[in-house]
Amino acid sequence: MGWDASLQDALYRFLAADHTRFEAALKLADSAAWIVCAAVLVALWFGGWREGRAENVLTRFSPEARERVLLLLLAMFAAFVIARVIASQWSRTRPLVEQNARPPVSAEEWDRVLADQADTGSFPSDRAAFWFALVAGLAMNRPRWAILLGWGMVLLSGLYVGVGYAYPTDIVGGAVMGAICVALVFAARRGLHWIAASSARLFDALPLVAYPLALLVLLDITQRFAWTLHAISVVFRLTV
Amino acid sequence: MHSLDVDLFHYLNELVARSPAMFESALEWTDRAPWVIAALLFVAFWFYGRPGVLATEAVTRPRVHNRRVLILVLIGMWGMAIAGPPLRHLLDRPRPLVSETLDAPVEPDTWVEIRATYDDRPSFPSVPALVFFVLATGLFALNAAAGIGSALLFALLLALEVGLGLAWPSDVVSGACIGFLWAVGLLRIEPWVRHPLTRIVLLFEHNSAPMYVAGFFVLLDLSYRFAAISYVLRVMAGYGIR
Repeated sequence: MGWDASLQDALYRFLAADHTRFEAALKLADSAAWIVCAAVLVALWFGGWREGRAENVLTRFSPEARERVLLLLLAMFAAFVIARVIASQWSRTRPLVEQNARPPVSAEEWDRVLADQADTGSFPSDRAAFWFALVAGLAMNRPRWAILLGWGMVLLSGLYVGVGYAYPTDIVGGAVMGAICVALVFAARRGLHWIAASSARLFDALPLVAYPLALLVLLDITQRFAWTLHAISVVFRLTV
Repeated sequence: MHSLDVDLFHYLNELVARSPAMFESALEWTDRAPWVIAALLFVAFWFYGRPGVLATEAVTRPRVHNRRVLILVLIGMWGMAIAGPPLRHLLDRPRPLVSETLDAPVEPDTWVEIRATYDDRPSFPSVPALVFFVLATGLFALNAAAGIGSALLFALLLALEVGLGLAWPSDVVSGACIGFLWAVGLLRIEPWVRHPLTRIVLLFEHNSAPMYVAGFFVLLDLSYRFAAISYVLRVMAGYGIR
């Protein structure tokens, strides 16, 4: 057993030693990081990203900062999609399937987890790509927030690995993918300026439409893009 | 009156149970969708009106006024969501899917599961109707067309709920009336609580990032039928919203 599988096994044993601990880890690994990501994006949108100056006293927030937040969201989503496509081609079996694990949770609960995860590959982790893209983006503008969030994401990734969703190398692969996507999107920001600027301006011009749409996107992030993936699968008749 | 209630329920059930696909869609649309729609309406009207504190045109109120109303509406929605479950236990009226024979073209196991969820949960008054009509009344105070439109939309979604056997028509109607009266009462006290409400609104202006993150968590909770606040209540007071 390599270091990768050994570390995963050690984390699994630690979590599976106690029924309550494993259930809590399962719940946290499923949703906590996504909710945190959505909340951080909200904070960045409403003045958290420090760049530029507000155009007037009524709009209050700098258009440049908002463009950057939208670019960051684009990079995060791109990282998630690319990692998911690669994972479906690579088809690395998840630890929970490979080891045929029977953790201390109800059979129905575990069957639900298996049905949800069994037919998707684990390398690179699409979730880690999304989470760490946000950390990479924050590192450019809010290094202290990035350090705090980075540690939080490492901890949640540990839980994610421990419950058997992924190997540590899947997380590392996903994190690298996230950082690369952020670097590429921000390198191409002049080319993407028109789309980011016009989208940011929509929030001032049509707030009644733009903010509900933004909330819909944030709610979808908290549920791991379930609506977006469902819409893609219906429109393009794909299994995502 | 009782027979009208039963007849209307069976009529709506027949409509919803015409095909398995329609019944499943109704199940999906009455689960989380109305709550998500409520959250979207709330956020839309948070940004409705002219930015700033003063009205610059006669026809549009400043956002600060609209936001005061919306904070009151949110308090009203919380109030109804918290008061609804104990109110239901006053009458202990069983839901149609428990007490009536109805058409349910879904897998028997799924239906047994759904019925089991509602077995010990009385139906009168409908908590979603209480909550949604507080919001619709609040929106009416801001924009009459939006208030009427949202009331019609919620009425449609609640009719689906009746068709599925989750509530009687009279539960929904009485819930809507109570919600409406509660919201009207709250809006009447707005001039007396204007000062503290304005302070909360200004907090969003001066400490935007943390306040909007808190606001996001409130709307996330609303989209999940106030699940988090219900959990806190269950822990603190021994009962909660289900």
